Amino acid sequence: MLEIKNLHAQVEDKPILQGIDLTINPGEVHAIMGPNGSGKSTLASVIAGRDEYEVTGGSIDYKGKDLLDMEPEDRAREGVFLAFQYPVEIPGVSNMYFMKAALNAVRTHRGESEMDAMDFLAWVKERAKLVQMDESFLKRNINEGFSGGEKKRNEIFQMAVLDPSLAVLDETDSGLDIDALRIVSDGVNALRNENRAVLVITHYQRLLEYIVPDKVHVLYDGKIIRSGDRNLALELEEKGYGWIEQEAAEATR
Amino acid sequence: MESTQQLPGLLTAFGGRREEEPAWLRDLRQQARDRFESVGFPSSKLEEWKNTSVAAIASTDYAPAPAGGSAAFAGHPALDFCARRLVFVDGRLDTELSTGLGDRDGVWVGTLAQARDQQAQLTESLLARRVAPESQPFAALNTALFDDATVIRAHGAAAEPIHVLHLASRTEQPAASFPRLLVQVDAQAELKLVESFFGAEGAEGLTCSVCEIDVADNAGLEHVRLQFESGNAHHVGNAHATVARSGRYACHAFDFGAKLARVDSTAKLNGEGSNCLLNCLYLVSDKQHVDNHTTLDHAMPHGDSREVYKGILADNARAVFNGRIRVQLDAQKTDAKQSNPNLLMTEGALVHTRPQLEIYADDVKCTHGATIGELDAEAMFYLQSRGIGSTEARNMLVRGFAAELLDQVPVESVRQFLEEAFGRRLDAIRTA
Repeated sequence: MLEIKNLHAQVEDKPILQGIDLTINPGEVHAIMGPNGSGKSTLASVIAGRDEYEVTGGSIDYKGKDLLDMEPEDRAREGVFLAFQYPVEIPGVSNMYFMKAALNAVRTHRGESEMDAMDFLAWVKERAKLVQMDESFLKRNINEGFSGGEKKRNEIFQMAVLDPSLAVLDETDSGLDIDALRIVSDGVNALRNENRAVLVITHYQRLLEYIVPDKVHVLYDGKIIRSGDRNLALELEEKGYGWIEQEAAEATR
Repeated sequence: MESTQQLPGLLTAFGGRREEEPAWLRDLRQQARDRFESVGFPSSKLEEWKNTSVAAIASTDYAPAPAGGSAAFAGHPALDFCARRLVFVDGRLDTELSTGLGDRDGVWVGTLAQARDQQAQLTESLLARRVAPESQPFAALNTALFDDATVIRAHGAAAEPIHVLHLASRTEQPAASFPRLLVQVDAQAELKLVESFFGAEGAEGLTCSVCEIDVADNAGLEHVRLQFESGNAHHVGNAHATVARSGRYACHAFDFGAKLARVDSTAKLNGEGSNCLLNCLYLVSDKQHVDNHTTLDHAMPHGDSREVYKGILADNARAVFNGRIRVQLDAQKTDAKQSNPNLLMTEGALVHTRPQLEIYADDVKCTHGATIGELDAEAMFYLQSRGIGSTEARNMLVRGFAAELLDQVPVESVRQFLEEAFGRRLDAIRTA
């Protein structure tokens, strides 16, 4: 589904990604771990199409299409979803109105008819349950006055409504207490299926106890320096990122 | 003191049919006329006018519009806002388009001529007491030249809103009109009032309006003011509300029209525990210029005032906001909040914003804030990352910016009209 080859990207002339290779197949959950500044969030942003990031080399193939050639909204319509590390507050626009516009944009792109108000309401109510979101959240303005945990639940709720093929979760666990983490993880797990790929970006191994990945990659200095199964995450937890940094340093010596 | 040569022309062109007026009114008009003749149109050397030039008004040769302009406004959407309405076409009351004059539903509605018989005390006590000719040259001009004023007196809790609608025709020679509105809300009474100004496309005239409002003890007035003049027109308005003990006054203003608009709005909290809200949304594009000068004058203790003036500017539009808050010595426990956020859609747009605080009491809460910014790029990306196209995302954010003002409009038909008008204007605005 997603094939990243030798991806290089920079922000304001500062190289961040320096040759990422990553392939994710439908149904798989991959985790990317790495210390601060390793390029985790940059990778998420480049996949979603944030325009401060300039791709200077390599390619991203998504379902046989050149993802880098698409506007952010077209990526979303093709089924790419980014759960933001810092979801944006938007005054004056309700969650409900936002999700209706988004879902209908996606459906129109797929050649489906727009959902009518009744069907839409039934659909969002059902999806809200996945993250134990009260219906009153739907009427509130997007993320305005939401707690950190509510914002992250709102991201997973949006993912549930839009039903993407590829979901990138950018540090969805950061700042969450254990109860909120469990709710968010349960939501993501309920959305796992054989057609959907998930890329979980995290700083902490803890999340991977709840969302168990098929593969774990360690990102360091803009490159994936090690890949393995979930045991790699446990090893990292035990030894810390220092271990990886040391190995990387030795390898370049 | 500029361009006074053509004043006599303006004053003679509009000064007729005064002989049947009572002596006090003729005296008042003479004072106003003298005042205007001595000060003339305001120069941009004056502090209050430094960012707004009225030279274009001063140099135009205005004439009264010819009669018979009503036909052009058949089917105008504003005619459907309220079942009870006074409709003025080019400054003249159109009795066929107007409905519900007289006393019903707790409200007396009529013209000044009618009020002199039925509400004599009221007119003499209210007219020019709130907006004196000395307060501003355009107020003097209006007092000297207004034709027939509208008088509204609420003495009960009115169920239906009342609309005072001014329509300006497109005329060969630029026309001028001088609408005057007097509103008295008696103790315990409640009223919703819509005051609006619309013009035919291309109309180049001048509307110079004055509105004087008195809200008595524990009474409430919700005032909606729509300025939707033609893009070639000039609009200068003065509005003044005085609010007595525990009285409530809210103004929801929308400035979308006119080539140049200047509105001076004052609310005086003149009784203990009174409450005032001044809301305004201005949406201007091309070379439109909108200037709002507001005053919230706290004269008595425990007054609450809220003021939210929001601007959306595109192309080379200009906006001026001068927000004065005065807290008098006796006005302890005043709680006043003012904000003036502005959204610039293009680089060519410009805002002058200035809060002006004069606080003489020592136990008060008074806050103000002004911002001038562009659309939030991160918010745009957030919406786009969910599949929403860039134009729709932009419109959604701008609509969100305006939402609190649109949502508070207390008359549903007007709120719907504004919602649609806002959407249409937004669609026409290009983002550079």
